[in-house]
Amino acid sequence: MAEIIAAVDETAANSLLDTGIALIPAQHANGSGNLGPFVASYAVSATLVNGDVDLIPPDVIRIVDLRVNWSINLSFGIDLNSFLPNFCLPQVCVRIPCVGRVCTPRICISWPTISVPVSFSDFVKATGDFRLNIALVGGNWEVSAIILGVPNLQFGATSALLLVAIGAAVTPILLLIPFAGPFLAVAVNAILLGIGIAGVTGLLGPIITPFVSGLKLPIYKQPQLFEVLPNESAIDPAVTIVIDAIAARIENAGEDELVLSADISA
Amino acid sequence: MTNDLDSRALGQADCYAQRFMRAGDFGYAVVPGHGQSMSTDRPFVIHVGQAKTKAGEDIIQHHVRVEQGNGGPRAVPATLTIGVGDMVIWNGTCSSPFAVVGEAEFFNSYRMVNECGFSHAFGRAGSYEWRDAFGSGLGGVIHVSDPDCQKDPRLKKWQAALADGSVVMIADGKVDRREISIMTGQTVFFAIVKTGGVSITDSRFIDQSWMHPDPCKTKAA
Repeated sequence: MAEIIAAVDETAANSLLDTGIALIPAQHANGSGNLGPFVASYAVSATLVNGDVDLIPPDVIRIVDLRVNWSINLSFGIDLNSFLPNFCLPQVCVRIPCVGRVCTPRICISWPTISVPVSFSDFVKATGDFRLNIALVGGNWEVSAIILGVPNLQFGATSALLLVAIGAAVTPILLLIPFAGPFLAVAVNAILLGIGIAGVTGLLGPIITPFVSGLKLPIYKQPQLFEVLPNESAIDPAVTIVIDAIAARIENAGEDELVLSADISA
Repeated sequence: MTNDLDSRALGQADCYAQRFMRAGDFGYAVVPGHGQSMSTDRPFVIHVGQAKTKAGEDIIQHHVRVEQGNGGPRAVPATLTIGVGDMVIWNGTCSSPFAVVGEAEFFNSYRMVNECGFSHAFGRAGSYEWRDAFGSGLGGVIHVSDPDCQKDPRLKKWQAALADGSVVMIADGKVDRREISIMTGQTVFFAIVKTGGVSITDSRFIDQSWMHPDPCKTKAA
């Protein structure tokens, strides 16, 4: 039988995981990915916020509405020749007094490739099932909760908002391109349709999901050998104990509880 | 592409026009914009021979393309034979601005003197206050507005309207139209009859004198 037993109910477990999740520092990633027909480079950071904890015997902690706050800086290039029609200034003829008719040549314009930077922040919620994990690491007992599987993140509303942000970022850039102004609405619509909701989701999914999949939440950490009473005198030395084993499980004793038990020796 | 309003540095949507009123060979160079003093070579020539038009007839017009060569901008054709009174129009297909610099004083896009012109297609909406960068006091304003092209028929109507040009006459120290309103993409032709040497320059570039300082005006310390 275990010498030490500690139990917390769901309310206390919620508080425990609030603290554990708050200790996880902001995570960062950068790279490149497909944004519809474009290749976008990105830098993203994410922080986690605890949701509602549900303890499920024998060893599952379910967190409903685990929230991922994320912020992304995107940059991608658009070859406007792919989105704007071929454009030529027609021959312009004017009549000049005492000279006569003078005409300029037809002048065709080649559209440039533009670089579009977009900054966007949002959050996504997920429900994740975590399994209790116990390990002795470097002389410390660590109890943690490791997420099971890859949660399905829903970016539906976010994708629409990011598309709006892309449209807002593209517009002032297009207005700086000579002769593009009259094609502004056509170009922005074509670019956003080219990306589409699927394009945004296809980019965000692989970027944000890794912040949640493989997630490990710290619950408890204790040195295997630790002092329980300090050294008082030459005849009253410090008392240390060794934690030989730790077990963690979810039990239902009227209500669901997270139970930690330890076997110790002197 | 750049689309600055500055006859001293011709862009893709600009043309420089020059009439040749007497016979002879007129050598010239095509140099990068604002580089009128860079070259003393005059590798390109306009041969002006006997007049081919009679009084009252429209002038004959010739077109020279300015392309990007290995050693900088070059005129195509390099040699052109025309008649007295004919007009030659230079237009660039390269992305870098350029200037046409002739041996004769009257023949220079950087500082236009007489029987010449400069056209500019305005690529962006806005109000463009232009002035003569050489200080004659000539100037005016071009108001450019974007058409409402949300619907296809309006886009087509706008594209058709691009062939309508406006003319500003500059003669005897005066400008006949000081204010013009046009749509984006439309062209204004500045016809210069006789001046002491002028430019058509967006006033914002004149105020930025640090961009093209005149080394001859630098005072000794």
